[in-house]
Amino acid sequence: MNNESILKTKFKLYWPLIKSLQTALLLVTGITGYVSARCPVMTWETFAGLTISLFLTVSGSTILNMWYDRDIDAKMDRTKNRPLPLGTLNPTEALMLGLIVSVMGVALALSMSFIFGVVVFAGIFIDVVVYTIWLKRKTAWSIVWGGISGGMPILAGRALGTGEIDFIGVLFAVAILLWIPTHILTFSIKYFEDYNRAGVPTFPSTYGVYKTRVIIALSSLGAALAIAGVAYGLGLSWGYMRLFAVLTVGIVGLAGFSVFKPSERVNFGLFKYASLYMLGSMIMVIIGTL
Amino acid sequence: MKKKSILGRIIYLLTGHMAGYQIIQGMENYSNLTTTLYTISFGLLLLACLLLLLMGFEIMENNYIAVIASLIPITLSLGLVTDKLEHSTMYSILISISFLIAVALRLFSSGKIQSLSIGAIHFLSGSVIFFLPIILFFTGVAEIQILMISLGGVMIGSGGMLLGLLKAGKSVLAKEKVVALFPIILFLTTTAFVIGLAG
Repeated sequence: MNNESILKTKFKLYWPLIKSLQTALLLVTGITGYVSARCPVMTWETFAGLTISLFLTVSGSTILNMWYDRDIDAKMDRTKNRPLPLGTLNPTEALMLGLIVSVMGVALALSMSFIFGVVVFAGIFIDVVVYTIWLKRKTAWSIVWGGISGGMPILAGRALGTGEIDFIGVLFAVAILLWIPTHILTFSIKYFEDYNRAGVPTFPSTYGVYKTRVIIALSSLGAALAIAGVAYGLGLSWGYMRLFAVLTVGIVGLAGFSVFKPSERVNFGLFKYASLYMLGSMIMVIIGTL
Repeated sequence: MKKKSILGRIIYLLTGHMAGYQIIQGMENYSNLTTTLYTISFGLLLLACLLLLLMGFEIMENNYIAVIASLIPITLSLGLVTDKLEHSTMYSILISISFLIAVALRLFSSGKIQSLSIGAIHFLSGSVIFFLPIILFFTGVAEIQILMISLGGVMIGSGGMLLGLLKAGKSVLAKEKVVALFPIILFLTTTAFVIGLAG
């Protein structure tokens, strides 16, 4: 096998380890945080550094999560075909890859700005150590920590732009933290049996599906309010605020439907809409602040 | 669930973008009330596109959708009336009461009377959307562009009729054809409204 085909084979094996869509969405949040700072001096070097370091750390933490969770992934229909549970990738190789990619990302972030590096490191530490290794198999509330780590890229981006951790940055992170339950809990309702089989405690298995739907509705509302607060705080034009309001009506409406008229279609529709809502909100903040 | 076509998805996405653009950029020089009404109208068009894109055509079978969707012509017609006419109170009261009756019937009644109430709303608001721009143009109050709103009204009315007939089991077209036509109708309608309001 020549070098090119080895690289191709490795790329095919490694790519599913980083959950490309989720990584891309978190990357967009990080870029949004940075752009929202309206830096007077915005260089391509900084922008590229931000993108690469966030890509590496988010990918690294995802690889480390996959490495640690390979036993439970093997028990779930949804995840059993991933390279690690399938045995097509050596766990030690995945661990090394995850560590190298993560260290590279954090090192690059620290070299750019101390505060940026610290927030990026906090994100990967909370995600891998606190969420995945410590809490995920013990309590359904682990998703709060998953949410906090999910909010770190946007906080890091904002911190890189402003040079400090400010109120808008924290509000951005809160929006992501509150959006995470909408995203993950709808998923855990859809794959209820999968999570039970793997022995992972989730809100539906601990508190029941109805209470989970209520939590989803409330957290959707909270996320929408936080995003609205960010948009207002950034001084976005009323046109953008109107569009935020429209998209928010959609997510709150769907969440309400999932509580009062629950169905599989509404549940998964909410899951997909929540991702689109977050992506749309981020794009609006980027365009609105540029 | 039927698989959504790629073209259909792209058209829904384009339509949603156009409605979103109108909400952000196309509402200057209106009063707060008119802006709010147009925002609801285009906002519902945007949400309709997103929900059809994400959840498929089957959401149209939901009982509440018909009532919520009736807000599109209601708010658009109210927006036109409050923007272009000096006296809009009578129409505002009439259409608001009609809507409240339709909501009440949807909640507490069943059968044909529900459809009749929704039909009455569409007839009332549809007439305003169709005739008012024509009157405004021929009396020299508005530019020719405003006629696009009438055209949009005809198109969304046709779409509504196709859906209504489909739901009643009396469709002149096969469901697959209606599903394929709907994104195009929604796109052309939104385009017509955006152009019409830019005049």
